[in-house]
Order: sequence, then C-alpha cells, then structure tokens
Amino acid sequence: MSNLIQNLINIVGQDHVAYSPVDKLVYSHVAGAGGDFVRGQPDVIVMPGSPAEVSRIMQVATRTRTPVVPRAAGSYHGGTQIPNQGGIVVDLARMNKILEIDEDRMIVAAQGGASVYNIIRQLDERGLRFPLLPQYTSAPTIGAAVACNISGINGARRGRLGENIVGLEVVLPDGEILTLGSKAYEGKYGHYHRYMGTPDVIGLFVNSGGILGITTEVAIKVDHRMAVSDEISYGWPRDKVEDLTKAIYWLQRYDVCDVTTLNSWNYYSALQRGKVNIPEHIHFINNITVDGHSKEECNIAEHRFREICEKYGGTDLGELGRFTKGGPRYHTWRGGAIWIGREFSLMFYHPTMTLPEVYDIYEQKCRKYELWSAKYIPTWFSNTEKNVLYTYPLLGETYPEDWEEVENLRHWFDEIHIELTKLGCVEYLIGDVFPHIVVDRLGPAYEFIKRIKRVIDPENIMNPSHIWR
Amino acid sequence: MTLENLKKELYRCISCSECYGRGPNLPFKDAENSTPYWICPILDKFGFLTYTPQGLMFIANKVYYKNFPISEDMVQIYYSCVSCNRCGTQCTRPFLDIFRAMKEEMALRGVGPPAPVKKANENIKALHNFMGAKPEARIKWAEGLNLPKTGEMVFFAGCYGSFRYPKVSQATVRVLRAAGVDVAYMGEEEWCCGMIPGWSGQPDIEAEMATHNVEVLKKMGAKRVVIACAEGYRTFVKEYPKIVGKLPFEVIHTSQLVSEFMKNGRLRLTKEVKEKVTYHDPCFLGRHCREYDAPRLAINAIPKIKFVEMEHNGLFADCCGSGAGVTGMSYPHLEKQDAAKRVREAGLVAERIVTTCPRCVETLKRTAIEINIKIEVIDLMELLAKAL
Repeated sequence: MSNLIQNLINIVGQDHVAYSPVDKLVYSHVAGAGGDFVRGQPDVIVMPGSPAEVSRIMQVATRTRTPVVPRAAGSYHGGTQIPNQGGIVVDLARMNKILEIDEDRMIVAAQGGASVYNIIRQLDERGLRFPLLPQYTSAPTIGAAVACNISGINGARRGRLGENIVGLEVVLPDGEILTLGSKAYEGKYGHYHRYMGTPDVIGLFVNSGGILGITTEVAIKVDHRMAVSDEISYGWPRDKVEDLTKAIYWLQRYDVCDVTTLNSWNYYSALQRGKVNIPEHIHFINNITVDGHSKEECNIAEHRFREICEKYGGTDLGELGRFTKGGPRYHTWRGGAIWIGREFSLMFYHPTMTLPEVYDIYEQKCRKYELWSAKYIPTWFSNTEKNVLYTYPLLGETYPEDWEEVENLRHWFDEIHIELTKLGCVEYLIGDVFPHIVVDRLGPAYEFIKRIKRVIDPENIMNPSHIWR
Repeated sequence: MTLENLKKELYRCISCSECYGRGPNLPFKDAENSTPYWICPILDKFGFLTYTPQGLMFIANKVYYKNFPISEDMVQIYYSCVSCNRCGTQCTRPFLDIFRAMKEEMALRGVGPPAPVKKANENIKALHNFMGAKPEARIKWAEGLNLPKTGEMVFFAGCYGSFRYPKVSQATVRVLRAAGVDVAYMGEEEWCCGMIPGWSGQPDIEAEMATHNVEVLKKMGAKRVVIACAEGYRTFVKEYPKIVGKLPFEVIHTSQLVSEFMKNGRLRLTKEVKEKVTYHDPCFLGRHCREYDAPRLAINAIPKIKFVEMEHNGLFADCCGSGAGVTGMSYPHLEKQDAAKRVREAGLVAERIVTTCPRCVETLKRTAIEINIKIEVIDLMELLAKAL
C-alpha cells in the first residue's frame, strides 16, 4: 500500500477508500457506449465525510502533487470526471445532507454530495420548488450540478443553475475552506444574498468542471411551488420552422414555464410501439409546460399559449406531451431534446430566433452523412436501434460491429461543431469534446481563466484532464 | 446464459446512472412509480460505483472484451448483489442475466462461489437439498396427510417447505383442502429447484435439478404445479423453460392460487384474526415476477385483520438481504444489514410480517430476534390456515 493511500485511510477510514484494480477500472469511465470512455485510472478513490476531511485530502494531494478529480455520478458526457492517469478521485456521496430549507428566505442549503432529486422532493413537500427540474437520474449531486451548471425545465424563466446560487463553500487545492456569497456572512440571518460587495466570485466556480476546488456546500434560491401544471403539445411541418420559431419567441415573452421542442423522430420507439400518434406532416413538436398558482391562472396561461401556437400555424397534438416518464408534471427525461428553455438547441446555445439557420445547417450535415432519417434521434444522434449516443463515437469505443457507423458519426459531429461554432453558437459541453474550437473562440478570455487557475492551483492538481489545465 | 451469449448486451449500458441512485428515483413523491428513496442495496452498503449495476456490468464488459483478469475481489462484488432486481425497475438492460453469466465465468475460472455456497451446491448435487439433509427426510412433513402421488395439481414443497418449515407445507395442504383440492406431492422424487446453483455460477446443477423435476412432474400427470416459495416459483417460471423448453404444465404460486379460489368463492375464511399485519414482498415474487396483488388480496380476505403497508412496498419493497440465499450464506453480516432495515420498517407499522417466501421468513425472523425487535414473521399460508 502506498503512502498516499495510507494517508487517505488515516483521514477518512478504511471503508471509505477504494484502490483495488477493479475499483480503479470502474472509475476510469463515464457515460458512453458500454461505458467505454476510458482515459486513465485513478490510483485511489476516496469518500470524505466532511469539509474538514476534504481539506485534509487536498492538503495531502498538494503536498504530494497528486492530481485530484472530483466526481459524482459520472453521467456528464464530457468525460471530465476521469483522471488522465493516476491521482485521487474524490466522491462526496457521504456528504449528502440537506442542511437547511429556509422557507422564509426561500433558500435551500445542502452538502455537495446531496442528491438533486432529493432536494427537489424535500422542497416539494414544503410547497417550494427548485429553480429547475433537471432531466436526468437520481444519481447527480448538487455539487456536480454547480460544476456543470445544469439546466432543466423552467430554464426559460430561471436560466441555468448558476443564476440561482446564492452561496458556496469550496475547498481549494491547498486545503483552505472558502465561503462565498451568503455563506461568507452566514450568521443570525442565515443565507439570503449572493453578493458580498465584492466582485462576484461565485461565478468562478460555476461551470468550472472541478478545476478550481471542490464544492462542499451550496445555497440556492428557490420558488414557491406552482399549484397546477400541465403540458400541451403543438406540431409544425419541417418547412414551417420560421413560424415555429416565432411561436417559441412569443411563448417565452409571455413567461412560459418551459418549452421543449423535439422532432417527431424523438418519438421513434413510442411510434413503433403504437404509444403515440403524430400526423405524418408534422416534423417539429413543441411540448409546452404550463403552470399557475391556481387552476384559473393555469387555464389563462394555457389559453394564451394555445392562441400563440395557433396564430403561428401549430397543430394541436392533444395528449402527446403527457407521454413522459412519471406523468405530465414529472417529466425528467425525454430522450433527446432539441432544446430546453431559452437559447439552447442541438447541444449549443444560440439566440432563439436563429433556430431556422441552425436547423438548416444541421439538416444539411445530416443529409451529407446519410443520417437524416427516423432511425436516428437528431440531438443525441443516437441510432435508435443501437446505443450510439453522440458522445460515443467521439469519446470511446463501441461494439465492434458498429465501428463503420461510428466513424461516420465522428466526421459528422466534427463538421457540425465547426460550422455551428463559426456562427457564434456556444457549445454546451464547454469544450470538453472539442477544446481546440473553444480555445480559438475564446482567445484572451481563455488565457485569463488559465491565469486564475494558476493562481488558485499553482501545482495544477485539480482535474488536470479538463480543458483548462 | 454465458457472457458469450450476452456479449452485445455488455455494450448496452450508457452509464446514465439511473441504477446509481443516491436519492429518490423520481423527484416528486406523487409521481407514478415514485419511491421514497432509490438506492441499490449493495451501493447502500459499500458506497462505491463499483457496487452498482453499471459498475458490475462494466467489469463484465472488460472481462469479456479486454480479458481483464478475474480476481478474488470480484467475488465479493458479484456475490454481495442480492439479485433484488431493483435495477430492473429503472432500466431495461438485462443486468441480472449478466451478473449470473459473470458468476458462471468466475466459477469456470475457479474463482467463486464462496465456500458456504459451494458446499450448498455440492449438497444439492449429491443429496438434492442445499442443507445436506438426508433425502428420505424430505417426506417427513407429509406424514399422516395421505397425499396422493399422482394428480393434476401437484404441490412442490421445496427444500424449505420440506425440511425447515414443514408447517408452511402442512398449512398449504390444509388451505387447499378447504378449497376442495387434494394436491398430490412428489415425495422423495422432489429435488431442490436448483435456484442456488443457478444464482451462484453453477447452472449445470440447476439444469440437472430442472430436468429431473420436470420429468417427474410429467409422469405424475401434473397440469398445475403449486409452489409456496417465491424463489422456487421464479425458478420454475423463468429458468426451467430456458433449460427444458416450454413446460407441459402451468406453474402457480400459492398466493395466486388461493386468491383465485377466493375470487371464485371456493375458499372462504371464517375465523377472525385480530392482528395488525404488513406484507413483505419477496423480490423473487414481486419485482422478478411482478406479483403484488394476490398476496394482499388473500390477507385482506381474513376477517378482522388490519393490513398496513410499509413505506417501501410493491415495486420498491426492500430486499430481506438473503439474495437467493447466495448473499446470505456468503456474507451473513451484509444480509443482516438489509434484514434489520426491513424489520425496523415493518416494526413501525405492524406487529406481524406476512410474506410468501420461506427464506424471507427465516431471514427476517432471525434478524428480528438478533436486533431485539418484537415482531413476528409468518408465511401467508400459515396465516390463512389460522383463519379457516
């Protein structure tokens, strides 16, 4: 057993340290075909139980210049939770407490390893709502959600998670436990305000992919839970994308809870199983989440949104929007949204009104690579009959019989990224997949972030597999 | 099924982490199929990704495709999985088939099963019961009952019903006779169902048991085979057809049969049982075979009984920890953790746990005593017999 491992055992105890060849193998992958995005194996995986333990782990890592990779569920497709080679993977699964739900100030505070779904549920039971309803599984944690700056339903109103964070506790590479925002002046009044009369440093850690420290506590603004919510669905033909875009624009102007636009191929398997019925001429499907503090308010909103859709030529698709896991209010996963909320589609941010142009490029590239068919779900670029998610061809291996197809997808993905980035679209995966494109685009901003990184993490131990290394 | 048979499935996990749940499976309590919290039983104990369905599947992938060496570490990883099929409620990937195949691969390479399970399998092969009891002792439970040796409806008592819990088998006969059915039984010709070797990497022994039992039942003229054990029932229904092809008879669990008799008026319970009871869904009857209603219908038919659900019930009922006996025999301390959790949960709402699997009865009963919680554990058939 190495000194490093012995040191970690001394900090967290034997049961919370794993270092067998099998454990190291399992922690060398993230979401991908067969979990095959394998970069490198850690030397050890450790589960601290408190910020103080995280701090001591970081001190050991800094002293020994050992890379540290924070990791939660590993379901983020960018692969930033995998070490290049060796080092410590830190998993906050034990630090999963919801510390406080302050109903007066409408703020929830939780440890970095708390399940996002658990936070949502606890809030829901108190008549409160997490700002977003993320579309994933029960595994992701709030600390990871900060590092990835998650989105979700209600994003059209509330933006991404970063916009809703009021306080953070982070452990820096040298072991210092830093409190920011409301955490910095947490006292009699508790959490209530993000800004400290200084530059806003919380943002530095949002979307950071774990390159600057480990988030051990988060405080987030929450909403009052809407009493009523529902979904309506409208469809448009492919050649009416301009009208569709106008409808989305006006839905957003009228404060829609959220609108998720799919194309009919997203319903491929449901159609095959006869679970849904979509008219043949319909290509785009808008699933619109409507809510209100009362039935009347919800009805008024629904009426307004229906008017907008119908004004711009939408076809009412009835109950289609209800075809979601867990019923209308509970949709957590739709299997490939073209975009969710405001200014986000095809895994890129772009202004809503540019959708027709973006979608044209997308179709053009799909046709070039013979991928324009119901067999593929467009956004995720999954072959619906096999697991060939878009990240697979880029990041890892896949089933040998699929190699030819994967190679084709690889070229498609590369080309579409280049084209959309040239237009000014911003990649959702913050450059994990195509760092060179992001580096070119950001120019001096990229250098500035690197300078900050060097100051905070002079030994460059924090997540060195990430683009900002 | 071997890893070779399942090789394509090994690439079908996208590591979405549905099976790596650390909170509720859905964010809202009132959503369909929502559970208070969702966590894989082995993840709950060990905490690391390695001990999750996706972890186990990833290891199997690497063993098959990359020749990753099978090591002793893997024995604990795979044999501590209780096969509760909770992962099957979150994902359509055939996790349990893969884990069974992986155990088979390990056994072929001389790693596993753990010694107590290996011994049980040897007993099954030699003596046709996992306890190592003399085969002739199998018929003791039926002494004095004058059960016929042939007939259209045959009762398969199983190892537990024959050796450890004869009262369950005797109660079953009483209840069925009250419904006007005189079941036949297999006597010494009944062999272990083969479930333990099937779940511990020695499917050849399971196949031997299956072939024998089906042959005997055929000769007896069985049209319906009644089983009081959830594990035996699942083995007959899910595994036997893979081994011997379509079964020439119907297989039915006692809870299903009695609820059928209650619905058509053949079975009436007349005695009051003034008890507050809850029902523990055995994984092998519940999540594996999706039978949740029949036992509840039967319990609720008892006059004056007060039935209450535990917080985790039906699709999301917690496992007793025994894991087809494989986990329980290999790692009793792990079994105890699950069982204690279950007993405590039951203790919050009821004074008696009713279940439909003798192994669950044994595990929960023993644990309740060990952790000093006063709650009785009883098989459904014994409870019904009290109400006749």
